[in-house]
Amino acid sequence: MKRLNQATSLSLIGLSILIITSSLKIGVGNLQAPGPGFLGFLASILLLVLSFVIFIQDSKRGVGEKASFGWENLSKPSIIIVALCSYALIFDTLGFLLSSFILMTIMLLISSPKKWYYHIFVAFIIVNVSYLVLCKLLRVVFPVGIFRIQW
Amino acid sequence: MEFYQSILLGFQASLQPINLLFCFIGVFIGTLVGVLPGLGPTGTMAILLPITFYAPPLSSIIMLAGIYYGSQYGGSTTSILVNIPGEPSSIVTCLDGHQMARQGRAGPALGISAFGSFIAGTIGVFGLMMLAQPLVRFALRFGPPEYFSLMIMGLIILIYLTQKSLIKAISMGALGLILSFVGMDIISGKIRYTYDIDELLDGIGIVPVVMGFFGIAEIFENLEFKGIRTLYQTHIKGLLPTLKDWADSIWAIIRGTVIGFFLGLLPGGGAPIASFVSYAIEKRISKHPERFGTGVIEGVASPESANNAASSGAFVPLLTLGIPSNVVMAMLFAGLLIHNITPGPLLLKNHPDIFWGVITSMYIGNVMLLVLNLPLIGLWVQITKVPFRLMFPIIILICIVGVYTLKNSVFDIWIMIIFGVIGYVMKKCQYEPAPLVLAYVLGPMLEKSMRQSLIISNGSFKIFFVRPISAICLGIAAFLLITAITGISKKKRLEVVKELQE
Repeated sequence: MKRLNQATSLSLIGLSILIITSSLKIGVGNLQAPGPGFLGFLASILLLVLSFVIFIQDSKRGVGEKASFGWENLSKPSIIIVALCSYALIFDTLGFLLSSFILMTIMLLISSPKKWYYHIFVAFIIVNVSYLVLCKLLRVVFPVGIFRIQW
Repeated sequence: MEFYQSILLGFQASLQPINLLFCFIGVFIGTLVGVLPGLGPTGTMAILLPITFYAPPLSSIIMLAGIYYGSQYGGSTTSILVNIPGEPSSIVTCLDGHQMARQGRAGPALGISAFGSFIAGTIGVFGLMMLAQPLVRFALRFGPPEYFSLMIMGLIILIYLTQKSLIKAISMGALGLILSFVGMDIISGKIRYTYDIDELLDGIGIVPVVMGFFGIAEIFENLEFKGIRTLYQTHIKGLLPTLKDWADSIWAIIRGTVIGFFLGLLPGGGAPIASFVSYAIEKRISKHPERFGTGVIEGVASPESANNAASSGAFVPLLTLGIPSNVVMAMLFAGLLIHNITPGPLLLKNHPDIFWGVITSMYIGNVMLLVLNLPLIGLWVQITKVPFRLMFPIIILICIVGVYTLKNSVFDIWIMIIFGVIGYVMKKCQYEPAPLVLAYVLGPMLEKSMRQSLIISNGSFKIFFVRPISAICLGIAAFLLITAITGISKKKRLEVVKELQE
């Protein structure tokens, strides 16, 4: 908990330094004529100061302090995050139908104790129904991918 | 006369078959997400925002509004039957509602909740109608300094009411502002904070951001839940409250309505605060406060009325001033902007059909909700049994498709995933997403009004303090901020948080 909090504060500090630098580069202007970086500069200064305070507060907190949340059930969210990132990577290459089918199968497999073929069947139905509604009825255009899978 | 003509115009628009259909879809989905713990109205509205591209503007807003006030109705069902609030605004309903269910009085609890919600919702809409026109006339006198100060006040009130760390809430607000500045500068036309990523030239889209924060992050959080939600096994009978029930709860409903409506009006306010405050007041003025929490019907009637009245009240600042008072209103704000309609004083002049159509649709929606929530209570009870593990893959697919269809761009899917992860981590670290989203929505307007004010005043910040409305707003904001920082109100704030957690 402490490390995550510190890492979050440090990320915010890093982000605010980046924005401060960019704001100065594009022009902060002055009070008579505020530039495009004016409010971004002020907001990032505020973020920098507050993140620093949070970082100090977290550093002072005892190591043995009880965490206010548990990480024990983190496996499912982690798998879903990896699956979603992979999905975004293969979406254009494999097309909507195939990539969505893979994603749905993974999500159903990790969430329910039923047999694998049941999940494949459910994933197939869900993806095809959504394809029917979106592509055929609402005329949404999805990538077909290198295998050109469509109907 | 003009007032009645306006109402007629509103009903003429909202009674169109397409609008009735969207109103029904909105209140139905609202009740559904209210019943289902895990996905709130904000997440649902975010998920459905892209769909509104394909619908007429009025129908879209009617649907989104329906989701909001519909969820207030539905949220009570799980509070009463499962002791898990479907919505934050139904947390207080658990206290007495579930106790009533355990005593075999689930029917009257659900009944008074639905009737109380209906009465409060209807009175709230009436209040909205009465207040809207005078406020619009008043708001037309607002210049950039007044708008700037009002937005600052809204943000500060939201931050002040935060349940967790004040510093973290302010930093979330600052982060929201920074994110809103990405893209082209509205005044000079310069490109900023894009770091050579072409997709960021138009800025970071609101839809992927809120879908990530409220849709994906909520799913991640729910995936951690390993417990089994058990439905209290009770036969629901006698949904119509008895005369004694009515006698016990009618004043609680009226008080809850008044408190809820006025708390809903405040920037930063909303249904959860209204329900809590009305419960606390009801307990304080009761002749038998010790019985609160053991299953008294006033303990259900009051918060349920308050949260529905607050959801009507929250429309007032959005429709009249163009300022979303909470995150859900920020979603509606985004929904209007998608259709090139800018909420604010000119909405009444430029789009009276939308202005009055949305308001009158809430009357119709409240009637629909009463019909949906009482005879169909059995259906909602069954829905609470649907396991989350079966729903979340479909919700994620809807999110992906919704985001992709905005610009046919995988980049938006990335934005949604990134903000989903950020939202999840932020929640873990006790950062609240609401100030970020509100600041993100208000950011461009805030910047524009501030820079315009400074240009008008030739760089003098005095302009914000010499104009009365602006000075009052900034004074309130400064007062709240100082009391919060110096710890004067810390004890009170912590008491509120503690009671909410209990």
